[in-house]
Amino acid sequence: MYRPKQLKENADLSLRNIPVGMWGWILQRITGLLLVFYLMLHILVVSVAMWGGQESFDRWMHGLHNPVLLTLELGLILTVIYHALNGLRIVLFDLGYGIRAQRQVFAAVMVLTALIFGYSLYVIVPYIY
Amino acid sequence: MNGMKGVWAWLGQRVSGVVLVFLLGIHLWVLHFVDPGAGVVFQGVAIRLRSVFFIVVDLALLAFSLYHGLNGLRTVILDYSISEKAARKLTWVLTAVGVAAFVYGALGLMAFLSV
Amino acid sequence: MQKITLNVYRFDPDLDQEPYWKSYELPGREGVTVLEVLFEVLEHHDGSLAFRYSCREAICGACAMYINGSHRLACKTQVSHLGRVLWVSPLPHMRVIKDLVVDMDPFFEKYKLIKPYLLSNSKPPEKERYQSPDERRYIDEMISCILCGSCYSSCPSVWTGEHYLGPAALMWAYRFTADGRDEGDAERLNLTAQEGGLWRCHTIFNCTEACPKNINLTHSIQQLKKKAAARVLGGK
Repeated sequence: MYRPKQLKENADLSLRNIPVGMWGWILQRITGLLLVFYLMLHILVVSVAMWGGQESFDRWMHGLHNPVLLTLELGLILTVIYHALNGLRIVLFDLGYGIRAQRQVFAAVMVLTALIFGYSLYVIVPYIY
Repeated sequence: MNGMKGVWAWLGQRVSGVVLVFLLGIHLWVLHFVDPGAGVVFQGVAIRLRSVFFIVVDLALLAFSLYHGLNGLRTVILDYSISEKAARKLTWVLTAVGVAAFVYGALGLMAFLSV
Repeated sequence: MQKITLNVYRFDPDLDQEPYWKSYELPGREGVTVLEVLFEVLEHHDGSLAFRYSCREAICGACAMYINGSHRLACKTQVSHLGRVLWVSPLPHMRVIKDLVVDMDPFFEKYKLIKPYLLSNSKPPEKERYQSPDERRYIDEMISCILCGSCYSSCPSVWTGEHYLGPAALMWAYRFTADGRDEGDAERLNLTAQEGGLWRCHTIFNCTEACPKNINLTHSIQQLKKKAAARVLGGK
């Protein structure tokens, strides 16, 4: 059979449209990887109490309590909310529900994410700035 | 025939994910919503960890998040056509990392109980 | 009708270093399909344009292409639905043999792996292996698959997973497990409930979106996952 040696993939995706399900997956990947990284960081930061005791822990926490990091923390909360809700969306599909209404389910995830994050901002923001 | 590999990892990811929604909900609520202005201090954490409930929540959170995170990382890496041999190695390495991180994290928590 | 601008992906590995887009201005006509536009080029402008086709009525699966940002069958895609500017390229993330013709071998090899035929160990009954109309209706959607490769080309897990069976093979595996006459459940679950099988599916739904026959492949794959889980949990 004729088989040219170096066949190239068609990677030219002019006018590419990315369906909602793929956005859901891309975001789930990115947030997931961020959260693994944060988890490791979190374990390390909390462990300063083990090495330096109360004084060291409180110094670290005080140092981390500044507007820049607290703003990043808001981003973390958004990341967690999305990853959790989209995760529940995937579990729903795994149980066999909502598969034929996946676009609507994704829309619901986005709306709920926005609502819960909005509430978080409402509670937390006044204390940051 | 080599058995149905990967069913448990897949199921485990779902179960740990759902459990984490609840555990993380408690964790974030207590730390960021009950008294957002307070900031985290040693005494506060120590007092909270006097209750068995929070020790259980925190240790479970540590275990489940490590499992879910590292298993998720494994899934991502497996998506990039690595060999079966490399996949087995990866599983061992990630398991070791997970156990080590759990022990280290649990010891870190115990530091709050010593006072 | 106004003129049509056809932008078509050209690549001949024997002549070209890199693929390029070539534009053709063509006369429009009421009811014209993308496949007919490609024929217009072939017959009147450039006899070297390569593309696959056969039945011209959406049942052979040969003319699946990437047209204006979506997977479509060229033969059943009306140009009037897409506007007057067409962008036609071969199935994305598949190896291009020439122009719009891609290498389908990996796709069909994986399809063969799941044993796409009824498996049975029992003796055939006197008359026939009976299938009720309800049982048949349940698999109707799945057997409308024409193996065009659109789902396979659209799946991000396929793009990076060289050995991943892909949506079509998994859907077909479920099509047979869902068939009352088939006795190959255990065999097919062992073939598909593997890291290179079911567990590379992350319910992205690209396959379902891409399918020109409107098959919900995700639904079938999810059912197969559930079957695998039930088997392990039930200790069967």
